[in-house]
Amino acid sequence: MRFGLTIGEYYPVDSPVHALDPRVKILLVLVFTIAVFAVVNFSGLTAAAALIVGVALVSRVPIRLAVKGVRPLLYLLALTFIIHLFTGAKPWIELGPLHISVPGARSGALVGIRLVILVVGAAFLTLTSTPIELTDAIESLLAPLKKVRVPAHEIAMMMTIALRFIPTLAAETDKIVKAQASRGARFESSNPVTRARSFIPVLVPLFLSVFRRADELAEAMEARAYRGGEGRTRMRRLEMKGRDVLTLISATAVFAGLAWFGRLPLV
Amino acid sequence: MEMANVTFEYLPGTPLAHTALTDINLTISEGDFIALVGPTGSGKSTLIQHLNGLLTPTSGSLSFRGRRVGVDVSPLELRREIGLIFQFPESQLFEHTVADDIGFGLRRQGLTGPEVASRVENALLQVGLDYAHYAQRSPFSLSGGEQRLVAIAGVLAMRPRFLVLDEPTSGLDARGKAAIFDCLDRLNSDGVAILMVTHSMDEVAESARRIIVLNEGKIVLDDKPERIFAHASFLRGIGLDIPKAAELVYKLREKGFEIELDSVSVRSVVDSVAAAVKERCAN
Ligand SMILES: Nc1ncnc2c1ncn2[C@@H]1O[C@H](COP(=O)(O)OP(=O)(O)O)[C@@H](O)[C@H]1O
Ligand SMILES: [Mg+2]
Repeated sequence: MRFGLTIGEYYPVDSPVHALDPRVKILLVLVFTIAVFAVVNFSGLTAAAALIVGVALVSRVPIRLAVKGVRPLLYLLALTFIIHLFTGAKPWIELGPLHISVPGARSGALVGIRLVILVVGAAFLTLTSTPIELTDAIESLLAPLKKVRVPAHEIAMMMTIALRFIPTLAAETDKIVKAQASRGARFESSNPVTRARSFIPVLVPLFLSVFRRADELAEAMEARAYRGGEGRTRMRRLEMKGRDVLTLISATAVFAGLAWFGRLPLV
Repeated sequence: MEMANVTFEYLPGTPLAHTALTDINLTISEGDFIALVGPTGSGKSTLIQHLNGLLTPTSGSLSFRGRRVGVDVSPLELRREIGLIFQFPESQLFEHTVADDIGFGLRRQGLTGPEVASRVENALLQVGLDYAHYAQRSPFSLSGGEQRLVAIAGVLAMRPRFLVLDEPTSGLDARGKAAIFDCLDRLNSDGVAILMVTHSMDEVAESARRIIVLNEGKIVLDDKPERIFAHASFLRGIGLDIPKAAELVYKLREKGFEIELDSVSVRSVVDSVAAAVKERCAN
């Protein structure tokens, strides 16, 4: 079992970005995404990258952690680029039987870099906000939709519970894997069937424990008279402060500027 | 088994990095009966996971019978000689029958039919459960204490020469605890070395011949029980109790009784106290 931070896990330090209202951060990620999609030149993408570096510096999160999230996308990026390269319009550069499209190379690079920037930018949301802050923020942002019967509270509660149990189950899995390894189990067979079978001694105890925990949680919630969102008050209140509003407005303005700059006839 | 200058850090290189063990030096000999005690979070569970290669030291080294772990001897080989039983081992049960579950490790080793069956029977005997009565039942139909014994039998079936247990009695009633200790005492008299983690000092006093006290990832005491408990105020300071029997002896000594101690088990304390009282009356 491997330990360590995985992509986009909360990075616990104090910074102005961490302190920002999570709703503001979610909204800004949305605005940033729209702005980056509007950008059609490399100057604009460079500016967007510079903005991300700025956020990284202010938030004191090593940018390396945010960039890690790109790794699973590498194949997708390479494939996108190659498809653009060979399916684009004229002029073509002819390399033997291959026709490489010049505008294709340009648009492929644009799409690829844009995707990297979006993934890295969005990673700062989860790196600087705890999962609980995020679910609270989502509940709060979805609240207006309760009028059209979107179960905002239930969605947030489900997310909270799921997130709450990820570390618990990871620890549980780790313990069961170690316990079975201690009595001779092996998990590294090269034969896929043997390999799949070797996980039965882990999966059976794990499922038993998941169901037991689910039961206990349901009972504990009922014992505390939990019955959904109606009329419930909260312990942690999200409060939009002057600083949050100011950040929302000024960052939105900056992103609008980015979109405008990204559409200028530059390189 | 020898640990030399072992230091272990969880999540190194992240803001959550945490040094759980610092510079551990430890030698465990054949036939030992050791209790590893320490307050919660002192690194007991982390330490024992090094003993069968589940965790690898961040720095320092381990050797088993003179061979370096991870160099001359693989963790897999190590696990055949060193049985490790985790806290709440009953949560690892998964087979349809008790016999199948106990035989799991043996089948992994490539043993078959009669050999597995006889070892399973033997392991059940060692933990004091009747083969005929238990072998074909589902492990999930047993009581908590019985499940734990079955899980322990699953490790004993591998015939380890060295048994490591993490808080084997936590959450059991007095009878369950006694069953575990009977089993451990029997194994130890058959020559199996035992290292058990616990934070109940009363339990430790009965069986262990050596106590290692861990605090904040460091070994702070490593001695015979009767000498360990002389540090009563230090132990209390780090949140540990001392056994009631030993406490009685120290209180009587303060009152001027001369009591010799060569063990802190209840029986021998009763004997020494009786002897001291008799002597005082005779004078
Ligand atoms: N998987 C883990 N990841 C990070 N830290 C851990 C992990 N397991 C234990 N720790 C930390 O290491 C320290 C020692 O823990 P542990 O060995 O479980 O102590 P004990 O068994 O003595 O209660 C504790 O501070 C604990 O928080
Ligand atoms: Mg522990």
